[in-house]
Amino acid sequence: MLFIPPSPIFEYLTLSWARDDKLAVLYSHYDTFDIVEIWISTKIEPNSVSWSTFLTVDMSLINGLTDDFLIRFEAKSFFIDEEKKVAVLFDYKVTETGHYQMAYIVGDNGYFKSVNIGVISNSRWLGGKVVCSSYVPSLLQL
Amino acid sequence: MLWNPYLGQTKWIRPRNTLHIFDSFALGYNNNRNHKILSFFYEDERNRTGRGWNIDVYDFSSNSWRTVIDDNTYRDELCYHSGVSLKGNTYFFDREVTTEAQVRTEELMVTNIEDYLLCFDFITERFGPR
Repeated sequence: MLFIPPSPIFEYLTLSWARDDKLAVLYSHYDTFDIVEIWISTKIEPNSVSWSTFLTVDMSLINGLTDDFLIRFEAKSFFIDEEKKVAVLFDYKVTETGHYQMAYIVGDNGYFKSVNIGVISNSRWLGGKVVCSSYVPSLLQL
Repeated sequence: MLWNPYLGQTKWIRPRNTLHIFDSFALGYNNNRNHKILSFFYEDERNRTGRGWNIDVYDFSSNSWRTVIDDNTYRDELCYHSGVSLKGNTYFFDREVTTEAQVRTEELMVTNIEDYLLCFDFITERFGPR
């Protein structure tokens, strides 16, 4: 098995990457969904991947969560910064005036910051998916 | 359309099927650094393989499409989430759903769901083990 979730039933399970060809996994427990766990790969082969814990964030310890973070958050896209020991989670926020792209930065000791990146649409009903993607500069000729 | 932002180059590729909003793609390369695209083309009507997707590889060196040999008839979960490309291969979370027919209603009931990580190997052009 390349990765075994701690429990087969969970709130969300999302795959991402880190610098230097590493995979990262974001996992939230079904029963204690405010505990967010992030793993990072230590070895990657097509047939085997090994993991170590990168960050365990207890969202219930974070005071004054903004933008209904825990209620609305669906981890569809994220990336981690190994050096700064933070994860950046992407989602959107719905208000009376429209849909907004959001980035949530989480880290050790209850570090939490939300950033409104910009408007997706001016409609309450029409939204969009916010995803981040990695790109390493490449000299590949097309 | 392919795009290398670093060189500012673009290139158009003719898809094998008519494009659909559910189509998804992943990039990879083999040991000669020959790049390839893994494509999940959505089929409105369940297709010849019994699943709703045609899985193909586009080879940059020959500019042609090849069908991926894959025994698993359920790849729906794989197509809804984008994979992560790493060291030439692409990793996905896939899901195995076990169903059981209910005798009275003749409906299928989901009895077990298992999520697992899967690698598409761009050298062999096959999905790896769980």
